[in-house]
Amino acid sequence: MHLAVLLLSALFILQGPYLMGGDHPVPLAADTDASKCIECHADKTQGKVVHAAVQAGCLSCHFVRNSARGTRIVPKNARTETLCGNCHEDKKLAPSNKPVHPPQTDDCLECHQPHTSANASLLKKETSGDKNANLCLECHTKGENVPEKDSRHAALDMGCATCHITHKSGEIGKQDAEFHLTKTTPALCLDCHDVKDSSLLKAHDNQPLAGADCIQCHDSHQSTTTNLLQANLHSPFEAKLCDTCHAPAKDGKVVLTQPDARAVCVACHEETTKKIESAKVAHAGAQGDCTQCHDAHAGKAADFLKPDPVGACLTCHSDMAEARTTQSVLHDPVFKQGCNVCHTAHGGEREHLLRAEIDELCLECHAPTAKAQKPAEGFGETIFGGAVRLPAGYMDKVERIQVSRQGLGHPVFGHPIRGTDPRDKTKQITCVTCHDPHAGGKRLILAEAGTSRALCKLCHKEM
Amino acid sequence: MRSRGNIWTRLGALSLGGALAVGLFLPATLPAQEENKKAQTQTTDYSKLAWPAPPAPARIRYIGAYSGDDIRPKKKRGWLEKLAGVPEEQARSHMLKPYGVAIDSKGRAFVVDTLLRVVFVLDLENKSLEYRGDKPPAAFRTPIGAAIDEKDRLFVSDAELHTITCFSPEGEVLAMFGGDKLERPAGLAVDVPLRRLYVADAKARKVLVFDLDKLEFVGTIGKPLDGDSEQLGAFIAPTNVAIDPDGLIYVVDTFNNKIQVFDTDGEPVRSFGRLAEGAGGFPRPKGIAFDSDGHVYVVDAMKNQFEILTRDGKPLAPVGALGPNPGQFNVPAAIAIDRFNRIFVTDQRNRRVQVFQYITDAEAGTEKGKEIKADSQSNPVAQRRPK
Repeated sequence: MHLAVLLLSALFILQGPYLMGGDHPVPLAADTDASKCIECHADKTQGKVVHAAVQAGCLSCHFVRNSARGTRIVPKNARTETLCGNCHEDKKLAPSNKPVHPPQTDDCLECHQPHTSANASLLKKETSGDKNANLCLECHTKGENVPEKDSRHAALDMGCATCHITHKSGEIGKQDAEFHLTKTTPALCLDCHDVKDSSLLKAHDNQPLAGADCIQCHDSHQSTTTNLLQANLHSPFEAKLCDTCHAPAKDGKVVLTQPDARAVCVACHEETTKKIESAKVAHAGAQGDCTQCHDAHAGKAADFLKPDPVGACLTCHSDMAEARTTQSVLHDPVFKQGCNVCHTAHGGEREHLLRAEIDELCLECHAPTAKAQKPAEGFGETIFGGAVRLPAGYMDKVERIQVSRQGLGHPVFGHPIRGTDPRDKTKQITCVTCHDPHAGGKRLILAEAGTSRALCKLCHKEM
Repeated sequence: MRSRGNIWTRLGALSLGGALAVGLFLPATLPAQEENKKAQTQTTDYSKLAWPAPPAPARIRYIGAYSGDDIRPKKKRGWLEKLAGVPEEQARSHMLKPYGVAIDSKGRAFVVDTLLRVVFVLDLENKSLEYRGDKPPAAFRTPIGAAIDEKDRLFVSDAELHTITCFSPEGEVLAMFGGDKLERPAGLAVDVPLRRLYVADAKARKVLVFDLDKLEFVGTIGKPLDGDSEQLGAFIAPTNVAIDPDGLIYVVDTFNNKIQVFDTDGEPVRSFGRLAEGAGGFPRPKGIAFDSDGHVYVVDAMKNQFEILTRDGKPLAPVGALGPNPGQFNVPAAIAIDRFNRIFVTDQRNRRVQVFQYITDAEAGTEKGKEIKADSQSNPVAQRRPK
């Protein structure tokens, strides 16, 4: 997610919907019995599914507020998260930035009815059926209007709850927490699909399947190809030229045509190999097996990084994995688009494998006049002269800094962004003097500074 | 000869020109001077002052301003009084730095004067003036906030003595409390149905809750801000507090430029406001109050106005500007709205309290107002303004 979007979503959590009270037409005592309420509000107690709290009495959620301005019926808490959380402790949000289904953070009543409902769990609608009947499809579009030649997962017709538990959360980066799944794949897929099934094995060229993760090659909802294949396919895989890389399986194990995976890749990807080996600054991670970072068959991203362009790096760079769970603001390219926006993973010319010198690198997106290039073919837009591909319209949302040609004006009028660092005369001011390029506090300011005030004080000691 | 003649002719021409100029300009200047004089003697009719500006239907009308003794009918002073000078009571009868304000059920306005260390009691109905805290055992050092409960008991906070003084409606001191808990109390608010007194403490950076009957400390709301200023429910300096019709607690965090909202359990609900000069921005927010339609009124001392907002923080209309005239402010502070929707705003540097009238949705006949009107006919408790 883009930084601004992240900030906006943070604001949304702060300013989310809340419950309001209302004037009651007749005066009531503060300890009015539920039976008195039901005289008029009988509809709140009748239905296929009735909230257990209704049986416990109206005053378990409502409060009768008698003041000089009359009787008001007021919810006990203004936020549903707190009100519902009084009983549904397990559904309460964890204090950290764990992945949660977004409506859970703003309003329980987006999905649930407070009193009675025709559906289980007091849901407003079922979680299965077509667009009009399915509650989930009010926001999501998975499996809708799939053209006939495309493929669609049959499980979609069994309802979303077949694979998803909406309230499930967990550690950031964990598949079942991120996507609110009942189980992680492939165990989830194996609930329905049998790996020993002969037709399934035949479709997979009789290669052993037990150790493979299905979603490396398959999309779980729908696809524009047959057999629910991922959007990006390795050309030999797409052409079903399995024998380019594979020999027939032996003793239930995959056998390659070359002694190791790297040798298989090198056979075709000569140029990349040369780049890796001749780089001025080498990437240790790129010296070994290519399949450590890339999937050989298919992927969600164009370069089949597994499990995704961020996760591929975080398995080794654990400090970044930690920052993702601890810092409040994450730089969007790092944790959404992929590390390769700024770093060259196959080796480069600069320290930290940076794509450009530090300020130049940041200003590629954040300069007042920064502009993306339109690729000749394909989707999206590119930066760094076509080296980095971004989703269409991405650069329109990037926050630009306002600086004059002399490099003055950020973060406040007349403040320099270049020149000698006042704390250490041997150093120059760069973007990273104040910002953490990966994750930090508000506006990505250095985590060790904490607040913007503390950050300014690092140089402006008189403040 | 030649030169002399020349001088005379020149002088003659000059005097002729001068006379012509006078003759030309005199008739033109005279009516203008008359108009100026007229304008000086004629006083502006401020009774028609209203917001928003016409032709939009007025929702706020100006009623008046009081600075102390001017509420009493003017009494002619005898020659002895003039000779003896001003009596002691009258020396105090003009506000010096009014801050807190509260209104009781009889429509009396209690205005706390921080520098005079006294509470002015302005009885608008009977046109009389009284004081609180001017005689022992009551003694103030820096009285600041005021609130009134349903029994018309008056609570006054003292920032320097760290206490809250409770007065009976007649002016007797009933209790002084909070000394061990408070660090720098400021704004006060009373929740009658929940029997609570809320105290914004600017130094402890919390809102303290006291039991309204036992006058005992019950708990705190919010916490001091640590780090991120976007943090919900954390204060830099809470100064004023008010409760909305649902009992939600609205706390003005002056130096965080925000209004923070808590529910009755003390759980943070939301916040609104930012450091900006325009609508919805609060460079120096101070007083806060609610009208009977549930709109929020926030006084801003830097913008020199009070702004009307919806309860979720959407700005509706600002009232006021910098200046000494009616409807203008110079560092306004607290605000209080009585059950007849009369708005009292203390105007610190103009040394007065200004009174406005809010015209309700029902009276203005707006869409929302019609609904309210239909409701109020069936609701005997609905308040109506006296004729």
